[in-house]
Amino acid sequence: MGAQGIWWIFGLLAIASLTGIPVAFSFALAAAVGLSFSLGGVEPVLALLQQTALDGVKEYNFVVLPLFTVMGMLIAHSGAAGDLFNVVNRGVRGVPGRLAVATVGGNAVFAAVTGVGIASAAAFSHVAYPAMRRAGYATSFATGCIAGSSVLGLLIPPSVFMIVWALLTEQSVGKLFAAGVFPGLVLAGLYALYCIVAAKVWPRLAPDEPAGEAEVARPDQAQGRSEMVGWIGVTVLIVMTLGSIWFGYCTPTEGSAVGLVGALGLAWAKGMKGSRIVEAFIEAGKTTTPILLLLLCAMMYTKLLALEGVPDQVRMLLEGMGLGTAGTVLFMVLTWFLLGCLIDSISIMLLTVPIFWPIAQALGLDPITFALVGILVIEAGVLTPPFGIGVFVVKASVPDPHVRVNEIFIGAAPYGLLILVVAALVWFFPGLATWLPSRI
Amino acid sequence: MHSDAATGMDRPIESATRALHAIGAATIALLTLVILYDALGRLLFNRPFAGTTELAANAMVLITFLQMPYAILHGKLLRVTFLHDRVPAGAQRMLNALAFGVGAAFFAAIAWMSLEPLVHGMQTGEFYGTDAFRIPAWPLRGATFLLWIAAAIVCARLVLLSLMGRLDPRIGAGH
Repeated sequence: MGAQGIWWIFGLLAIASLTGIPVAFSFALAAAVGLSFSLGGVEPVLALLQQTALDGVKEYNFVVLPLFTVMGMLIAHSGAAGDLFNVVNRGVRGVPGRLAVATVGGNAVFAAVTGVGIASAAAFSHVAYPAMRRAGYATSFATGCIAGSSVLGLLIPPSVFMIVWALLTEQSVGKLFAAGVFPGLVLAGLYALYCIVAAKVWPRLAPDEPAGEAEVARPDQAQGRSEMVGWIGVTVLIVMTLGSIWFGYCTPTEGSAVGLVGALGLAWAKGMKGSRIVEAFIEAGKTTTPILLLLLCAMMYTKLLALEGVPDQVRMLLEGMGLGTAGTVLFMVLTWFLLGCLIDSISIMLLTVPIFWPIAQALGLDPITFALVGILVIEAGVLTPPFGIGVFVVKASVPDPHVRVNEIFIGAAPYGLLILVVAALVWFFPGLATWLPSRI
Repeated sequence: MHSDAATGMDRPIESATRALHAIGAATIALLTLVILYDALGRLLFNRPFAGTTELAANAMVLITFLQMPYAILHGKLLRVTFLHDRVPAGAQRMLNALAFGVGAAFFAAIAWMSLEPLVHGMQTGEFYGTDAFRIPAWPLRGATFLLWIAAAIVCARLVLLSLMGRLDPRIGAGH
């Protein structure tokens, strides 16, 4: 198959996806058609697809994906998100836009025990939204803050995005986790700063009224004890999970097992019993299975790309355009951003990383810096229309049927822009991402 | 499934796929224990469990496909619904039928292609792993064969419901 044939395959992939065929099946379909031309027949293609379906996820390192997801779901269902929100909320008393800042702070801590942004978005929709609305916050500002903050879960380790990137590029999951810490904290800081400035400049978004003070009242003894269990439990869990990985006691897979058992303990201490624990496992399965199927089918498509030498063709095309290193990366960033308006974030990663990663290597880019820039830009797609999954989860989770999707997209827009600012910071100051991994 | 689709053969499909999903969840729990046993054995007694890598790798395949039919049935596969949401109801039905028809064909094809390796593996005593720890290949090959058929059946059922105009809108809408 020549270069022209590859464009036909990209076209088929695009048409299949746009007609509503699940993205995973679109990958498989495009791969099957392309490979049948390359291998000269249908039977060897089907044999290759069957072999990939069996062997694709048959990998010890993939275990981190379901284990960290179950851990995140257990914590999300346990009510610990509410504890974190309340404790941070009391800690930032007197700060303008306090409830929004507490949402950001609670999410930043929560992010260190869950790698799934949608778990954070769902949990904080129940916890923070009613409090913000009671205090008179604008719907758009409140929901945008919840959706925007949930993205921290995809950057601060453990993160499903980082696991998928690490699996695609054969990088160390532990090092990528470490690389996300400082950019994640900087992003959380910028989010909090935005909330404070917005509340100060546009008080109608987040009025500083006494009604809000009711939310910082001292808890009664039982609530105080429950909050303490949640707060301390989450802290211990972070130390146990990430500490065991970074100090070299455990592999990331073992760390995820430690985290899952710790999350079970915390869930039990928070009063979660049998059926709710089972429900958390079931919910986690519904989240990870589509990602694993996407990974499998994307591997089939990657085999086609490799067989046809597509990464080299694209690299030569970009070299021919004389863009230089920065221009090539800018081209990739624009591609990611435009694709964010067409398909979901994980699919973007699976579609582009097999092509862009070899190019980044050929350009001599630092793998961790490139990974963080890529992850951040693709993450922004979680908040952009029309497929911003973070926004849809908030819409589905807030206990208010009158909230409109458009309001959430508008409220989340500043957070999306701040993600791009942090991506630029990582590009210009790579030490932000590379320093911590270099110490492990 | 939800609403009026939860009638006739949909209830058994819902129950069966949820049972498979729960077995997948139990496999995750068991796998967690195996990994912890290995880590503790290594850290405390310098005696790791030799079979962890192989068991975990095989369990990953099982977990993925045990939980697949339920996830498909509940519309959890990521779809781009830009076009779908802008066409009349009749066209939406056809698009949904096409979407899940491709899925049914995919799973049926890989199930069909896995038959020969399964039979061959059973006849030759194929195994996974190394001399330190080995497990026979046929249980995984047999299980994935059955689970791919289950996934194909679920997709085929969704095609049928689409054509009859009885597909739950939440499944048709993606996300």
